[in-house]
This record gives sequence, C-alpha cells and structure tokens, in this order.
Amino acid sequence: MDTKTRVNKLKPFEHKWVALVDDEVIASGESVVEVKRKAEQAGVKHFVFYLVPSSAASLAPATPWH
Amino acid sequence: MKYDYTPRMGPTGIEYDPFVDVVFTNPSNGLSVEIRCLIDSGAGGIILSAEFAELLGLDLKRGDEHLYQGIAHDPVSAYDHELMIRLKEDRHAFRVVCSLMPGLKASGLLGQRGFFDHYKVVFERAKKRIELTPLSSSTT
Repeated sequence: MDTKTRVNKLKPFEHKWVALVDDEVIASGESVVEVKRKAEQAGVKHFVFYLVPSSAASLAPATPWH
Repeated sequence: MKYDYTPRMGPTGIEYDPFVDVVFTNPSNGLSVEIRCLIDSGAGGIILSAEFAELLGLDLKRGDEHLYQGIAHDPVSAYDHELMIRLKEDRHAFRVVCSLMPGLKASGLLGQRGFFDHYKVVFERAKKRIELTPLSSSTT
C-alpha cells in the first residue's frame, strides 16, 4: 500500500477513536469504550487505540507547568 | 528497536510523526490497553487520554492532580497513576507514572518523565525513523 492510500484510509475518521489491526480500521467511535465494544463484537481482541488527528493542523507538544 | 515515522495527512500534505504502539498495564489488576502514542520530547511526562481510566480499572481522580501547560490556553489538570509500559514489539517493561488527562486531543504522548527516563531515543527525521533502546528494566 502506498503512503497516500494509507493516509487517506484514516481521513474519514478524523477526530474519532479507532481500533487498528495492522493499520486497518476495525472499529471507530466517539469514545474508547464504544470502540472496544465494537471491536470485540467484531471478534477482535487485540488492537491498537488511536485518536485520529485533524489534518488541518500539525501536532504540537505539551509541557509541564509547576 | 527501529520504527518508521507514521505518515498522516497534515495542512501542507503528508506529514510524518514519531508514533509508536505501547502496551499500558495496570499492575493492580492486570488490565491492559494498547495505544498509539506520539513520542514528544517537549512533553513533561507520559500523558494519556483520561478515557483509558475506565478500561484500565482506574478511579481517575484518586490519582494525584498534575497541571500541564500546553503551548496555548490555561494549564489543564491530569491525574497521575502508576502503570507498566512496554513497547508492542519488545519484552522490556517499566513501571512509570502516567498522567491521565481529560480532554486530551491525542491518544497518548510519551514525554520526558517516564519515557525518556527509560529509553534512549534517537530521532532520525531525515530517514523518517526513530531508534529506541531500553536503558534497563524488568522483562516480561
């Protein structure tokens, strides 16, 4: 799979939680609990959670405040 | 271990960011989740979305409150809990403090305290590659 195809597969899921297996979206939803339930209903127990970032912005770090 | 940067669509086209998959386990009950996290040398610690508290069997606000200042807006609260972390393809595991933050707009950040304490991190952006070397640990 080329990079553009790989990236575009996540485009419909911006701002959503997804469950990934080998970079394939197994389930998606508004919360991790919803995604876990959907993934397990699909018979998938081992997956990676990912909150798909917005394509409208680059990522920026957080720093601690004391 | 070497990992490729993860491509994603950004405002100017395809951007590459240093994400890795990490297994977080609550040592009190054995519950675990696997999370795709951004390696973020600018973050003070390991910060996870507070949504994972439920899946890990944690009472979120029983953790110590910890304020974080981002690059904009006011400081926000997170709650510290001890978890085991392990890279998905690795056997080394570390017991670390993780801050669970309500409203975090990312699944997880791997910052200085907890992550950079335990891994030598080499960013090779020109090669779109990260090299992570565990510094010491228990193995699973």
